[in-house]
Parts: sequence; structure tokens; C-alpha cells
Amino acid sequence: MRANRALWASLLVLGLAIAAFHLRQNGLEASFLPPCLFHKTTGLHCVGCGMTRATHAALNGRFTEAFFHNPLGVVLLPVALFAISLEIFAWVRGRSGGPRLRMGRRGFWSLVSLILVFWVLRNIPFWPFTILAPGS
Amino acid sequence: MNWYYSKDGAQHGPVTQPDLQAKIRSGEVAHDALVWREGMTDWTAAHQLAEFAQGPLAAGSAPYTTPVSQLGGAAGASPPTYLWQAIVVTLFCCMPLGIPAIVFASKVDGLHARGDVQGSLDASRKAKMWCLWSFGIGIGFIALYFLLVVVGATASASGY
Repeated sequence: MRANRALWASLLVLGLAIAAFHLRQNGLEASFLPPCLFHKTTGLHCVGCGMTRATHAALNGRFTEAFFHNPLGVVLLPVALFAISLEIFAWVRGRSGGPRLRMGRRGFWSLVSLILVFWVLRNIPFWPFTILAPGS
Repeated sequence: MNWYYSKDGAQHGPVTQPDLQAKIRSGEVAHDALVWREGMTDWTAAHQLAEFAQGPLAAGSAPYTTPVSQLGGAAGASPPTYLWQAIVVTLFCCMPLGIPAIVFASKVDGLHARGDVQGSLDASRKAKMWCLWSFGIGIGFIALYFLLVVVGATASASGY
């Protein structure tokens, strides 16, 4: 256990909690998050587009709505946050050999392709691909 | 590789491996002192570890040999992949910069499995670098936006 690392980790969690609470209470209008640059400049949806709306919906308990704002992100984000928590926990304890979420090489490449395919598909402007695009 | 060692009941370090070896050879640190580096589960007496096995006497009689890299081969733990961090920055910073991070992250384990330790470490470092850039630019952009919103609100409130 390293005291300064534990402090950093706690600050990070606190910051995230404050940001999440702010987003939950005040909604998107009061959001301090800028609009997506990629969407602004190209008019296309990026992989992460809809994640602010999805997080806001999920924080207010509207999970179905959250899912349709960004189906891939809504599934991947909790997994990623869980995996990162494991790593941060190991880092605070000063051990590198802790439990870790690892996927094989196959899993890795499937994930990379999935993300890229998702990115392309959600920009196809007719049904059923429009389901993948963030709702208004 | 940074080591920590105990002396007179207090913890010292971090020091590099050659430094600690020199300290043990000179007798400044007892050869049965407890030592630890990141990745070890517990503090261990120095003479029980391959790196510090030669005591002060042995070092005097045998020529000093450079220790073999302890990172060695597929048996060692593979370096961090930063895959999940890369995914989070890609999802939230809206940056195409997250994609190279994910690509490098995905190379780490494969290279390590093939025994290419250096390549694997390299991919790990690059994944980390792209994550940090993406994260930094994202945060910078949010801060800038926030500033503009605040300035804009103040300006319109005062009638400009």
C-alpha cells in the first residue's frame, strides 16, 4: 500500500463521482463537455458519439435509452472501467501481478475490428444502421 | 528496475539494481537485508535472490558479471497493455487518437508471447503515449471550451 498512490486514486474516484453527479442532476444543457470535434468538422458520428447522452440517461436509470444512444459504448464502458479499477488497485498496492482482465490476441483483434466496423456502420444513413447512430 | 531495501529498520530507495548490488558488495547493505521491487509479492532477504546472490566475499574472488536481464522470455509477466484505458479515451475524448492506442495495445501480448520482449515493451510504451496524448488533448479541449463558455456567459451578462 502506497499512501500517495492511494491518495491519487481517491482523488480520481472523487472527481469522477462529482462529474457523474453534476451530469445526472443538471443534464446535457449544463454539461461542461464540448460537442464532439469529429462530428462538428465532418458531420459523421465517431465511436464515442452519444456517450454523454447515454451516460446521462443511464445515471437517471433509463438504461434502454442509454443503450440506443451508443450500443457498443454502453457495453464496453463498464467492462473497461472494471478492468481499469483492477489495475489501479494493483498499482496502489504496488504489485503488478494482481488479477487483471486480459483477452487473448484473438479477443484483442476482434475488439479492434468491432470498434472500427461499428464506427463505419453507424454512419450509414438508412435503416437498420440508423439504430446504431445516437438518437436526438 | 527500482529496488527498495531495509537498513536499520527503515525503508530506503528506490535505487537501481547495479547500485543496490554495489551497496551489498561493499557491505553498506547487509547481504541478508530485506529487499523488494515492484512485482514481488513480499520483501525477501537479498541473498535468496539470484540478482544479489553473490555475497561480499564471493564478489571479491569471482570477477563481477553483468546480471542477465530479469525481464526474460515468455515466462515473465507481460507488460501492461493499456487496452482499457485506450478504449475509455476513445469513447470519451471523441478522438481518432485513441485508435492507434488500441492498435498498439493489441500488439503487446502477441509480441510478448512470441518472445519479443523489447517489441512488447515498445508497444506498451507507445500505447501509453497515445493514451496520454489523447487524454491530454481531450482534457485541454474541455478546459478551453469551459473557459469560453464562462467568458461568453460573463460577456453576455454584462451586455457585450
